Amino acid sequence: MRLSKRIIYPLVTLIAFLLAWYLIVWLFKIPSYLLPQPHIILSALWEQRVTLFSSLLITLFYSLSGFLMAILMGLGFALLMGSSQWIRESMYPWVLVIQMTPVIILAPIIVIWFDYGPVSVIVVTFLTSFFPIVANATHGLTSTKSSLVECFRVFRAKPLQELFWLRLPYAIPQIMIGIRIAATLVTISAIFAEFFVGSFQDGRGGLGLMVFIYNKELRIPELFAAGLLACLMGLSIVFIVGKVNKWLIQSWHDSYKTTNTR
Amino acid sequence: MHIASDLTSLAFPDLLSFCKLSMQSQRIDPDNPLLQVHNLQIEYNPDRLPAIENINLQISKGEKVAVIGKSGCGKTTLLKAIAGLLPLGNNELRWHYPQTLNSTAYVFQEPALMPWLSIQKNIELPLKMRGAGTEKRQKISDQLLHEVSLEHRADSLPGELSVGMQMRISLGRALSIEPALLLLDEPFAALDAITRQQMNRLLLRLTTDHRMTVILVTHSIPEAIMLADRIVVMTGSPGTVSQVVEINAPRNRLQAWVNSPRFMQYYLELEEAIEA
Repeated sequence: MRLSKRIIYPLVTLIAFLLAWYLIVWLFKIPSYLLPQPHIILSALWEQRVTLFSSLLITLFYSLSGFLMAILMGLGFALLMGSSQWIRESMYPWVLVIQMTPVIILAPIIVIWFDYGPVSVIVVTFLTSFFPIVANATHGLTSTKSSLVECFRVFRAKPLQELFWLRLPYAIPQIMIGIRIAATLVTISAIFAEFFVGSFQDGRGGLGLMVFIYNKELRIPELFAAGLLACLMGLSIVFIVGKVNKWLIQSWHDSYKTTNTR
Repeated sequence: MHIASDLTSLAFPDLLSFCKLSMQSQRIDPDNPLLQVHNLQIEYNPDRLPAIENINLQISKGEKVAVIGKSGCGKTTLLKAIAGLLPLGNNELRWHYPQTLNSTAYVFQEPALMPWLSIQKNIELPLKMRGAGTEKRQKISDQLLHEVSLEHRADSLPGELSVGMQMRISLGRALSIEPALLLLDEPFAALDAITRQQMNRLLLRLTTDHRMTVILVTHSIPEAIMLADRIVVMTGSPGTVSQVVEINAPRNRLQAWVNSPRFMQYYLELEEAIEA
């Protein structure tokens, strides 16, 4: 779709949504401590901008650190598992075990090891985003088109050449799916992680801390404002990852050919 | 000298060089075998019939062999077994030359190009696998691109080209390593008749002058007669070699050969053999 349309359509939806918001609050006489009107949220955001902005940066730091760790380790594991069947069969079940164990159970263990604080938050964020990346990357690396693999084999390519010159580039679309899914999870898991394993001692903290404080103090407009910032942060991360995806594969992958984009 | 530069220096043959070439046409020496296939049997599924069985073949160095037959008779299986793409199990292929890295090249039925690489990089890929330097790779790929008439699209991606063009690149890639044995699996099956004719002539040109052994699997009888010294007919299920036809024609096959009555004779003979 043309760019102007792609901006206008969501914008119109947003305006309609805001109008509906005002309408509902007015119609059902909803008090401000349940559902503040948008302009009240925005003014709370503006008043608290310094605090909120610094906590946003901290949450951003937690999210991106966990995200980066998940990408590096996820890809590393996937490359190992993609290159050898026996590694795959021995390690993959344990990756699944980690994924299936709820964070609530892992959290105390993480706290024992790393103490309450940023490290634990980053570890929890990492654990949440690790599995989508490693699962999709492993699948991508082991689903290479067989005619291309045969081509490499018949030209007597060495196994590492096959892995890095064929399997890896071919798997990039699938790897990016895993990374994009993880990108949607990092913000929320960084905020939630602060609840479970964050430290509130020194008064500095991310948006998770702010949500906790505003909730306790019943400062609802500020609460919504923090939520709005978290949402915007998450959207930005997802948007940037989407752009990276496009840059990597648009020249050659079917997903960007006109038969699929129109 | 590399195959590509040999050919670019071979401009359109004048009468004298043409005569010289036809007299020097490669003498196939049955005492100089390249490969002996003895009682080859390949099965994909132990519960079903084997795909091919009782295959006995001897391929000589420099020979051009075509394998023809109906769909499903096992031609591709035979070719893949020779290429080393299928587990041989109890079978044994006797090779009479050291199986070095540069020995075998394969052209698939579909182009099988890496979609994220330009066609020039695609041609350079086998050389890159062997550790050839950038300059050498570029020189060879430039020449091959010229040979297949795609030098003006050197930086295009495969997805931007037609299938016919991609097949030309695939052929160029196979030739980049100067293989001793060139295997082609119905390489031109997906092309239209005109492009196919052009590709046949290209293949003939590129493999004639060099002592390259060629095994071409094809559906098309005219293509086989055009290119081969010997045609192996496979039939049946499981596939076996039912007949071998020697083609007596000079190496330089021109249009006159295609239009000659002997060509027609061979055609009818082979058509009958396939149907049998």
